[in-house]
Amino acid sequence: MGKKKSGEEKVYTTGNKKWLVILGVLVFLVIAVVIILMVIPANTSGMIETLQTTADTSFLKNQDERDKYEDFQNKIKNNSIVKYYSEEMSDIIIISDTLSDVMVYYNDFIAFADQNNVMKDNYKGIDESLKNAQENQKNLNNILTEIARLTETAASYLQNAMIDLRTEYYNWLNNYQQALERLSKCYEGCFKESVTSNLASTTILNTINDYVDVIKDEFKVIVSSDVKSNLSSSNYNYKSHNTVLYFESFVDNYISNKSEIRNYTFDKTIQEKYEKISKFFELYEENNFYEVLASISSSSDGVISKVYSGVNDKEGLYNTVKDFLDCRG
Amino acid sequence: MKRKNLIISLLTAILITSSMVLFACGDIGTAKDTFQAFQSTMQTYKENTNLFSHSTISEINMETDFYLNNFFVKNNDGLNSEDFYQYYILTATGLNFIDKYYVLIENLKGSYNYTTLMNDIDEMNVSYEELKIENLNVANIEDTAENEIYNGYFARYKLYTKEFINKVYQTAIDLGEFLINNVKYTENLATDLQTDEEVKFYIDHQFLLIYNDFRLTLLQSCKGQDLSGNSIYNTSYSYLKFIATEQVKQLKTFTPENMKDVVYVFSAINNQRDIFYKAIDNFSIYDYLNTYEGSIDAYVNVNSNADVYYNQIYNYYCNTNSIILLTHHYIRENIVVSE
Repeated sequence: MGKKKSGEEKVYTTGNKKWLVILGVLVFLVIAVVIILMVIPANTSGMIETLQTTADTSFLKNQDERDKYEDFQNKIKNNSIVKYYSEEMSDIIIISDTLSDVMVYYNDFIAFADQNNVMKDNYKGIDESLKNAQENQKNLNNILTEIARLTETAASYLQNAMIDLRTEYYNWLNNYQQALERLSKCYEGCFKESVTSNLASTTILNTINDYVDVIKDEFKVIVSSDVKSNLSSSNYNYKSHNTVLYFESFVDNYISNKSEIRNYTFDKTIQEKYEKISKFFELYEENNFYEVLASISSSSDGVISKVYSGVNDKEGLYNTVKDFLDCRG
Repeated sequence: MKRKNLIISLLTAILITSSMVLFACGDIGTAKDTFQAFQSTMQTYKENTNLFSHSTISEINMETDFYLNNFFVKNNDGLNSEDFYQYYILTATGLNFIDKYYVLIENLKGSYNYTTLMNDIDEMNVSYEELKIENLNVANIEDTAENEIYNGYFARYKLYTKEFINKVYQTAIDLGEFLINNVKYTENLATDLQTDEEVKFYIDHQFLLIYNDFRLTLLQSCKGQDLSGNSIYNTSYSYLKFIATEQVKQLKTFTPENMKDVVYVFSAINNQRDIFYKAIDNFSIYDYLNTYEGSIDAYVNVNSNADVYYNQIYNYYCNTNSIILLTHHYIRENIVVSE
């Protein structure tokens, strides 16, 4: 509170000074906290350990787990009423094996990533998603163990077991998809442009994310439509088989065999090819890419009859993808 | 009283800060002193004809003033085994680089901090003095001692050579970084102002960095031992010779446009090298084979990322289209004139 002396200037009292000091301390604390948060590196060791465990023990990688799954698969195949699940069951093996290869790829690199803001924004999310996936995997294993224990082969039992398995598998896939999205952001943002981290690898990893997204969404439809105790196959409309095969082939070509990603830096023509497909994704969105792949392979004369979401120029879309495939060989 | 305390505090702060600044700047050296230190060192090494001779490393046709003498073991069959090419090549390439490019320091104008280079020269010379003694020891008993005695002395000579090579490379790499980062010697590359000398230096520097990868692999991770049962050792040893063979060839002519592509590729390789460094610093191929008997699981029990590091080193050397293979091809196709 100010105190006015006659003819003299107003004197600041202790009260005003106290507020200034408090304000100064608060500003200092805020600056200190911001600096500390910027400087302290992310503690990613837990995430890296989780990723490593995931890469080593992904669903169906363990032989015991695989044996139990194949045992269940045989029961389904041998039952004339529910054998319509056979293709889906085979595709689950393909998806799991393929995603395992992708995780191994990330595992080979993330230990070396820069601990920058991109890593700080994503590593906790990756750890959480992968840990949730590991929980889903435990549940999947419990379901398979129970199926093996009961040795039941009645159609209604097998159908219920399949629905339970698929529901849990969808959750596993969902968690993997969330982890993969963040992992690809880290891959793009935590490495300088190098022989193995460049536009080609970013394009490939983004394409993988979109494949997983599409497959996951199709599983979601099946989860909601395939109802227990209704054995009619008319409720069941599984249509992901071709997409799964394309996904497997894509990962085999670009992830398991990494030679093309490495060549990108050294070979100018391949650089141009990947710049082209990257522009394609910007224009047409990635989910149209795999749809065109599917239509190119199923169409004998290259005529596209599908409607692509948000795309006005179907021919341009087809030609760009065809060009990319021709360059790739 | 309050004002007096304030003035004393300020003066003390200024005094402390000034002292710290002066201490940090320290004795930064001069171009003349550093040049003379390099010159004297290189002259000394060349004059020591017991340790070094002017010769050609036959496997790679590389001429050098720094060919290691008396560098062989005596076998029971009476023949001398001289197959230590990583030692010959790394000694020669490291010292060749220093010998060629220290001269750029002589006429430098401006203020640069030469402390690191001077320290490097001192450490290299300390190691040289030790190596000199070991070389004389083997030379003195070469004709008279029994194989076992001679080979014992040779083992020491080899060990001190390994340490010397490490110091040589520390000096060579610091010299390269000094010229690039401090002197900005390559700042005109890929522009109309680029000179042939800049191009030659840039490419020689890239070769040096590649040789350094081999040094880290063969001398650090393999501890300088012959681990010819291991694919990484075998491949890296072979590639050291392949790539050194390229350096002796004539360079292509590079326009500024060409150099843009060359710089792009080598920048990508150098960025990849950061990953390789981390892997090679944290994975001992020697320990993997000896302590852990070739079991990566056993190594992982001690170092949880051992398999990840191993994969990276393997990717660098041994995979189909490994990075070192692609680098070798790139150099052969784009950098040197083919014979």
